[in-house]
Amino acid sequence: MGEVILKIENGTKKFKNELIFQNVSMEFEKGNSYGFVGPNGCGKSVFFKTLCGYSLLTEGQVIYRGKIIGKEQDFIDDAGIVIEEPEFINSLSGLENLKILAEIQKKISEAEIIEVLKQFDLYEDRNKKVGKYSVGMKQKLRLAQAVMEKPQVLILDEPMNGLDKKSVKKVEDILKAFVENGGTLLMTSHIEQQVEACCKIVYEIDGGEILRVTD
Amino acid sequence: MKKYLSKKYIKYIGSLCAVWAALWNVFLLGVSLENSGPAADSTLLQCILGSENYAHDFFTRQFWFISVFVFYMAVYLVIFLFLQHESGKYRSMKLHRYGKKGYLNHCESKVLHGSLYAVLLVATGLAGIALFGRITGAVIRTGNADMAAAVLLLVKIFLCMVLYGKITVYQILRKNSDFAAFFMLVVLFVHLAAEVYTQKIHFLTYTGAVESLCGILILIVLNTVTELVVRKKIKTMDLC
Repeated sequence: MGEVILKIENGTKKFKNELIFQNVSMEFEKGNSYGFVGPNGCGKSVFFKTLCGYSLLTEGQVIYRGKIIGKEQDFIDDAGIVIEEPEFINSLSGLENLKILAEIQKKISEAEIIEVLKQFDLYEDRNKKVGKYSVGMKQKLRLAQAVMEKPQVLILDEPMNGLDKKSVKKVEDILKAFVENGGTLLMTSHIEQQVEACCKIVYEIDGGEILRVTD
Repeated sequence: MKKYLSKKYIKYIGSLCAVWAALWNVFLLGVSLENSGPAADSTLLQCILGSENYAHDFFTRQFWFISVFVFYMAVYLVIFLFLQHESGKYRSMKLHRYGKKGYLNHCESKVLHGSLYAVLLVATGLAGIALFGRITGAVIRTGNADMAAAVLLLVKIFLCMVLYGKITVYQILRKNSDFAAFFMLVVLFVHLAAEVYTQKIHFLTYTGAVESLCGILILIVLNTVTELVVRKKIKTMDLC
């Protein structure tokens, strides 16, 4: 059994009277991959937001590396995150957008950003404005911003949305390599095959419950 | 520690200076008119504002203090709106990189700069246009050369405001950059120095130093109180 780096204990999330999930407890180990499947609107994104610390649990707690998220630490600070198709500044190029985000923590150089863009086949279009990117290119840019700073944890909500077959294969390879190198992957999809292709452990979210379906 | 102190204080002092500079710009129209030769003429002030008493009240310390108070409250109101309505989808990429405190600082900085530009463009612009219209009307009616000089002064100030505004808004939208605030301050102070030098007026008299110091004191108190409230609120807020 690997080192547990992230866990949720008796987590419940409600919006007024609407119950999203209830009494959820689970642990995520370093170097493992976890997939969550479920229909649209079942609460996958909200679950991920609570894990990241963007949204606070109604009851229970999320613990990352021994620290309670929302109390001892605001967010999972060394994670790469894509939740609900984040938007970029359309008037800037893909490279400029990534540079703005990279400047916040100053962990990587421009050369490393370029490397990531090459990895996601965006190098040729690096100076093109994001407003002119296709849906698939924008999705690849979102994934590029998540992996560019070499995070320990990847939390990806529907990472394959809008990608063509070739790109899906490429992203699957990148995610598998990330896990093989000791990273922890959490991803969602409404398509079970996509999750099964990348993740060793799969959960199903529906009706406020999260159930383990495969291992 | 040294790094933290220098960053924190530079930012704090910079913000205060920037707020002061922006308000000073609004105030500049009145002070310029009062202190410059042709604009000090009471007949001219009557032309501008309709009556001498009203003109006097308009540029009193009350106006200065109320401006500071309203401006600062507005800034913090906008920070809340910004936190809750800023492109939430863009925010999700920034939040974990900044951390909550860092993100709040980032919002404050953006909103503060945005508000400064709004003050520069809207308040000064409107005041400038109104005064310009009144004086131009008076010049046309009377053919007074002193008034013509006042018109030129206003045109100069107004054009400077437009220029600062254009450059700084462009900078903040395009690059999200603090350079805009720095640039604005440099230009404003050069402008101020030029005005003081060419009009041979003592710096403190020209800028209304007592009012400025009182304004900064009020800002420090307001800043401390409102920051406490904002930081307490953000702890329990859902951010995405």
